Amino acid sequence: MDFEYVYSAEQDSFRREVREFFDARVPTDRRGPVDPESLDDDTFAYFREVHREMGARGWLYPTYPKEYGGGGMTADHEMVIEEEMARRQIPKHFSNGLVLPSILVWGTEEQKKRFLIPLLTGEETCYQTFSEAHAGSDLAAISSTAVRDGDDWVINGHKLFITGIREPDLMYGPFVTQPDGARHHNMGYFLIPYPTPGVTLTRMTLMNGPGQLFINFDNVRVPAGNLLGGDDEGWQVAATTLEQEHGGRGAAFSPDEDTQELLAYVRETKRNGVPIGLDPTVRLNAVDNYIESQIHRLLETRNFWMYVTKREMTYHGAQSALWRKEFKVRNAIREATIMGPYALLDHTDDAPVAGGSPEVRQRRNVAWTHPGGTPEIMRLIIARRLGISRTRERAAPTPSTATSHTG
Amino acid sequence: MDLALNETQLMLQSMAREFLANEVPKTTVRAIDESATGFSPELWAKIADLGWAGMAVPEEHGGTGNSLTDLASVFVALGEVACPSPLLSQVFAAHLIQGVATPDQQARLLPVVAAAERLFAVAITEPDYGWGASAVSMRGAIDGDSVVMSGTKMFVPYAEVADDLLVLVRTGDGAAPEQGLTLVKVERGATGITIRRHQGWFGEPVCQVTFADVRADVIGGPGQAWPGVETALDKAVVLLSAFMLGGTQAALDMSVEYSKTRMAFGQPIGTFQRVQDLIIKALNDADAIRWTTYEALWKLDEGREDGPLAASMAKAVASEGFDRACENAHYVHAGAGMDLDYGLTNHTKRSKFYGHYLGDAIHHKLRMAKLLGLEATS
Repeated sequence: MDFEYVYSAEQDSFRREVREFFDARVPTDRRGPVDPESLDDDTFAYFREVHREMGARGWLYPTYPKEYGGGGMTADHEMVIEEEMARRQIPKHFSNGLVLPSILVWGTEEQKKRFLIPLLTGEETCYQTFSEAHAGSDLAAISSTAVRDGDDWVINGHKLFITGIREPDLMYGPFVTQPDGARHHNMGYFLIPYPTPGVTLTRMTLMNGPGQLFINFDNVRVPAGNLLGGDDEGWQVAATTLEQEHGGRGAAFSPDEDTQELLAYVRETKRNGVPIGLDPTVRLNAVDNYIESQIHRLLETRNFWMYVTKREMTYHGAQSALWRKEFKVRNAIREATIMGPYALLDHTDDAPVAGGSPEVRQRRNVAWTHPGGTPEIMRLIIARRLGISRTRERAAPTPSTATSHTG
Repeated sequence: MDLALNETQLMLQSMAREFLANEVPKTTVRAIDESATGFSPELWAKIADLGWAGMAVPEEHGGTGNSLTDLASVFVALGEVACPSPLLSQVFAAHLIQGVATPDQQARLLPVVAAAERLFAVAITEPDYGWGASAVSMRGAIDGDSVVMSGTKMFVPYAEVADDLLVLVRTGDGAAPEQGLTLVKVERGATGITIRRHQGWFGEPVCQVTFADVRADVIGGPGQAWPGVETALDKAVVLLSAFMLGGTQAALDMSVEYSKTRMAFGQPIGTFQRVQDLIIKALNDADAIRWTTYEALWKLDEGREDGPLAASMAKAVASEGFDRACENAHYVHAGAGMDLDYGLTNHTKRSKFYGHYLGDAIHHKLRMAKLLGLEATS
C-alpha cells in the first residue's frame, strides 16, 4: 500500500511553468477574499482577466478537448494547476461548469463548438439553473415550461438558489416541454444566453451571503438549436450533470486551512494568562476537527485512486460528499466551542480571528449543505447504490462512459 | 499511490478467510467465549501451524519477517468472524521483545514466540487504569538481571493460559513518567503469582494478575523500556484496529443482508429511509476505520515520523466506530440481533472491550493532541 502521490517529472516541469505564469501575472497580495461571496468588483474583474489568460493557454479547463477550447491535457496537469491556484488563493473560474460534461455527451457538433469554446476559453461564464421554489431535492417536480413556437422555444417560469457571483453569459437547465408527459420524460434541457429579453436576475438575501440568484423567465425566446438532447430527454441530460455533482473524482491533494487555523489558534491563545490548550476539552474538540477532516481527506484520496485506476465506483462519491457536508458543520460548531464569540467576528471587524474566516464557516457551512444535493439526497443515493432501496439506479452517462450521445 | 492490498496480502487474507470459515463458525466463537478459559488450545495450535505469529518476527529469528500490513490483512479476516485467539497477545509480545530486548535476548526469545512454542501474555495496565507511562506504578526492585516486584496488573488478556508473562514495572523514578520503566519476563506459574479471570462481558479472557515478591528476568535495559514499549504499542494498536475493521464490516454486512430479506409492512425493511440511515452510519464508520487504519499501517511500515499520530487516530476512530456500528446494526436487527446464536453479539461484545483495550478514543485523542503540539507546557 502506498498513500503518497508521487508527482511525475512531467508534472514537476509543468508545475514550474504554472508557477512562472502566476508569479509573473498575479502579485502575492492579490487573492480571493476570506468570504468568497463578498468579492468586490475590482477583484472580480481582475480575476476574470486572469481566467481569460489561463483559458487562452487551456489551463482553465485543462482536461477538455483542445478543439473545443480546452487544454487537451490530463488529470495530472489539472491537479498541478488546481494545487497552485489553491496555494495562492486564486479563485477558480466563476462558472458552474457542471454543464460541460452534458454538452460533451449530449451536444451536436455544432452545439459543442458554439457553447463549449467560449466557456472553456474563459471568454464566457455559465450558471446552472435547476432548482425551483417547489422543486429542490425533487428536481423532476419542476414546473417552469418551454413551449415550441416555430423555430424557437418560449420559456416561462423561475429558478432560484442559482449560484453565481455576478451575471452569467449562459444559463442551463431543464424546463417542462410536455406538461402531461410521464415523469422523467416530460422535459428538455436548454442553454439560455444572458442577457436575453424576458430574463431578470435578482440577488437573493441569504445567510451565506449574496452569492445566489432568483431568475425569472417571462416569455423568453431561445432558438431550437439551444435544446440539448431531445425535447423529452432533459432529465437524462440533467442526470449527466448531476452524476458529476454527486460522483466526484476525489482528490490527491486536500488543503485544509480550516483545521490548520484552529490548531494554530489553540497553540497560540492564552486566556487569563493560561494557554487554552491546557484545557482537555479544548484539545479534544480540536483533535475531533482534525480527525474528521483527515477522514474526509482519506475518502477523497480513495475516490481519486478508484477513479484513476478505473475501479467501479458505486456509493463512494455520494459518501464523500455526505461526509464533507456534515463534518464541516460539526467542525464549525466545535470551532465556536473553542473560540467562543471570537468565532463570530467577521472580516470587517478590527481584529477578527484568522482574518474573519471562522465567522464565514459559522454561516456558510450550514448553508452549503444543500447546493449539489442535501445530505438526505446523498443518503438516498448511497442506499440505492448499496442495493437496499426500492429504486434501482443506473449511473448516468458521463464523458468517461460515453463520448457522445447524439453523434 | 496504490491503495490496494498487494498480492501477498490478498493471498494471506483469502487463506485466512478460508481457514476461519471452516474452523471458526459463529457457533464455535460462542462456545470458546463461554468455555472455562475462553481459550481453545486446538484452535491456537492450528493458528500456530499457519505461522501467523511468526509473521511479526524477522527471518533471522525464525519468523517470516512480514510487514505490519501483511499481518493486518490476517487481522481483518480474524475480526470478520470475531475469532477468539491470543494472536494479538503473541504478536504484541514479539514487537515488545524487538523494541526492548537486547540482541541476545531477542535471539533466544523470538524463535519461541514465532513458533508459538510458548504463549505470551502482556501485562501493562493496573487498578488505577490507564495506557500511558504515567499509569504504570507497580514497583519492582532491580537485583542484578532480575527484578523483584509486587503489585497488581489488570485486564491482561490470556494471562490464565499463557506460558510467560511480559510485565511493565516501575523500577526507578525519573523527571518524567516515561523514565524508570522496565520490561520483565516471568513464567506464569512462578512463585508469588496469583491469577484470577475477570468475570464479565469481555469477548476475550482477561485476568487480574497479582504479584507478591515475584522474581522476574529483566528484558533490555533497566529503566529504559518505554520507547520500545511505545513503539510496540503503536503496532499492536493498529493491528487491533484492523481486527476492529473486520468486526465493523461484518456488522455492516449483516445489516445490509438482513435489511434486504426482513419484511415489514409488506416490504424489505431496507427500503425504509430510517433503516437506511442506520446502515449508512455503519458504512461511514467502516470506511473511516478502514482508511485511517490502512494509512497508519503504511506509515508504520515506512517508518514515517507521523506514524504514531496515525496509529492513535486509527484507534480513536476504531474505538468509536466499531462500537457505534454494532449499535446501529442492533437497531437494524432489533430482536433478531440479540439472539446469541445469530452472531452479531460476538462482535458487539468485542466492540465494547476492544474499544478500551490499549487505550480508548479519549486516550488516543489526547495523545494526538500532544503529538500535534496542542498540549501547552507553560
